[in-house]
Formats: sequence, structure tokens, C-alpha cells
Amino acid sequence: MFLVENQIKFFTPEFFFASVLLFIVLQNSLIIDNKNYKNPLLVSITLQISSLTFLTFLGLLLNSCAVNFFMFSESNFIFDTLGLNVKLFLTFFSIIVFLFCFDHIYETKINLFEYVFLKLLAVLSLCFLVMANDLLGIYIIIEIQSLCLYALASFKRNSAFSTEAGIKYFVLGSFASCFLLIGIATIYCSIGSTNLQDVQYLLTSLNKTILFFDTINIGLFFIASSFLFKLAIFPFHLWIADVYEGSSTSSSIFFSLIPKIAIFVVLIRIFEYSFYSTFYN
Amino acid sequence: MVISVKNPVHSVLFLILTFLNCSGILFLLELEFVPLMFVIVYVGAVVILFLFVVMMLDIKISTKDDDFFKYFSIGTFIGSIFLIEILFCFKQVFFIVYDIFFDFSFFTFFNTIEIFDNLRNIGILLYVKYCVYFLLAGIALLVAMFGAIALTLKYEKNSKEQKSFKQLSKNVSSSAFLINLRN
Repeated sequence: MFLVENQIKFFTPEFFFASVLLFIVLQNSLIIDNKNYKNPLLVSITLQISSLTFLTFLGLLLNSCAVNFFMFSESNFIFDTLGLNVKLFLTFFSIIVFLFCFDHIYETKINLFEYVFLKLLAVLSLCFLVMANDLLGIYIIIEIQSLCLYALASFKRNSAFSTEAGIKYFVLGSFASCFLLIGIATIYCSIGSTNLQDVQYLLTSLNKTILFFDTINIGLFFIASSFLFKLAIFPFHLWIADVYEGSSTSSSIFFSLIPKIAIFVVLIRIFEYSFYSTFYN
Repeated sequence: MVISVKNPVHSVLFLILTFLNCSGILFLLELEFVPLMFVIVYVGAVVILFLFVVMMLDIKISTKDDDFFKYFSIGTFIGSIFLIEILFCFKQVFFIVYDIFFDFSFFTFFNTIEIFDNLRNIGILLYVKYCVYFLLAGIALLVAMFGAIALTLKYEKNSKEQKSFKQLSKNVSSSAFLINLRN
């Protein structure tokens, strides 16, 4: 129990964010049935709440301490300055993106609070993704984030392009997550741990001539290909044209910028920090 | 029996029996969690669903006896190949088990240590160590639900949705009344 209590202290900004999300759901579901408010503008209420939330979240992040030590060897999340700075970066950019989207949402008349809700949830999951220290957790959080993005891509229901973009994004993105899962399974098969910290300790202490480095490399190849797919970097970049063109502008401006930052941090964590010694002899 | 019984309802019942047998074998191997999941998920939900579907659809009892001898030769050929492969795979494993059970020359310390049982171990891992991931998995389910609802729900005036106010304000005097038919 000591471990849990000690960890939960560091999650205060994220827990605040999650509770605000639940509050948004409750409030909107109460408003939508109420006859006193005829045809309420749900999006505008939710947008105002979300801008307040982001400012409070920024404040909480600035007050939270970055613990620049390696917690326990078994810890699932890591709290360091890289993660904290990237979280600040993420919130800053998502505020900007939300400001951009205000007018477009009003013009396209998307009067569903789920639109803003899914965007907020994507930002929350990206904040978790930045801290994740376990391959299993990285997979779960990437799934949450990409599920949000699939829904956002096909949100314009009356347009055929938008649904096409959503389906393309869904099929290709789940294909990429399958590759990620294969890579994680291969690495777990060869090392016996999914924790990035444990992997780093193990690989730096081992002799380089041990056979299972080949399997680690295969797993890393799969993981790298899936992350390159998510980031839309060179060999796997052909899908973005279809998806960004079809989906509505306010959502494509979101998922062309925000998830890339966090996934890049994960890429750094995996390749530069834990599997460092497989590349440099 | 699942395949060979002619009545589809009976074959689904035999499927439940095979799942129960399977979970019994796993119980005997002292793995508690997996057979419990078998009983809850497969027997409790999936197969009962099959049973309902089969009963609803009213499928006629099949009367095809000739198929058995038609595919007998090729079926036994493929089946024997798979059986031999499986025997080759598990040959070493079975020998190791044999050694442990019948060779008393060494003493296994592993059996003497009373560790947590399977269920408690999984519970501790799930609710203590991976507590945050468990919450995040819940959030993933929430996202899936929200996405599906937001993409498919249409707000129409004439949709047959539940009106809770109307439902709750009903009472006996307003809802139950006699209609005089003999006029």
C-alpha cells in the first residue's frame, strides 16, 4: 500500500482532469433532458469549462514537483523533468488548438458535447503517455488516445469523406497497434519484463554476445514501425493525406499536432533510454 | 458429442459440458483464475447466448448421416498428423512431470513454500501494482462507449426513448381502467 499512496500523490493534476471530465458528462446529460433549457448550446458550455480546466491544469502542473530520481524498479510511471516539461508543452498547445477550433465548431454547428469531451480525453491520455514507464501501459494509453482520434476523425456524420477518413484511420491505426503488440510480446518473450527501467538495468549489465539480442532487435523493429506509423514518418506516411483531408478541419488540426509530441517522447524513452545499449556497443 | 448430436440445442448443451470439463481439469491443476473465467464468461454469457439464438431461430433437426463416412478417411489422416505433432511437442514435458512425480531422490523446495494462491496474486497485481492501468482500461471502455454513441445516435423528436418523468408519474388510477365493450 505504501507504493500506491506514494504514487497517487504525483497524479493530482491528472486526477483533477479526469474528475472534470466525469463532471462534464454528468452536467451535459442532466442539461440535455431538461425542459427549462430549450436546445441548449452544449458545445459552448463545454468549451468554456474546458478552457478553465486547462488553465487550472497548467497551474497544478507548475506546482507539482518533478522527482528526478528513479522511483522503484517496479514502478509503472516515471516522474521526471522531461515528462513534466512535455506535459506543460502539451497543455499549452492544446489551449492554442482549442482557441483555433472555437469558431470552426460554431460554424459547422456540431452541437454535441462529446466532441470536446473526446478531445479532452485524448489530451489526458497523452499526459499519462508521457509518464508511462511500462510497455503494457504504453499500449493501453495509445489505444485510448487513438480510439478518441478515430471518433474525432469521423465526427462529421453527414459527410461521406469524414466517415471514410474515420474508417481508414481506424483500420490502419489498429493495424499499427497490432504491430506494437507483437513487438511488446517479442521483447517480453526474450527479456521477461515490460518495465523500461528493468530493461535498461538488464541490458546494460548483460554481455553483448548473448543470443537473445536478435529477438530484441526484431521486437524493436516492430515497435519502431508502429510508432513511425503513428507519427506518420517516412515509410508509413501515405495514410495521412486521406485522413487529414476527409476529417473536419477542427479535428485534423488537433490530431496533426498534439499526439505527435507525446508519441515522440515515448519514442525517446524507449530507444534512447531503455534500449540504448542494443544499438551502441 | 457437440458435433455428432442432431439436435442443435442438445449440441449447445454438450458444449457447456465440455467447457465445464475443461474448467474442472484446470481446477485440478490448481489454476483458479482461468477456469473461473471460463465458467463466468463462456458458460455464463457466450454459450447461453448461443442457446438463446438457436432456440429463437428454430433450426430444423439435421438428418445427414452420409457425411461421416464421406470425410472419414481424410479426416483421420489430418487428425493423426496433428496428434503426432502434439505428442512430439509434449513428449519432453510429460517426461519431466514423470520424473518429478516418481523420482523421490530430490526434494523440491518450491512445493514446500506456501505462496499466495493464484487468485490472490492476480488481485494484488491488478489492484495494487497496476492500479492506475486498471483505471485507464476503464477509461478506454468509456471512450469506446462514447465514440460509438456520438457517432450513431440521432436526436429525433419521434424516437421511442424512455421518458422517465412520464413513467414515474404513473399511478394505478390513471393507468388501469376498464373499457366497456358491450355497448
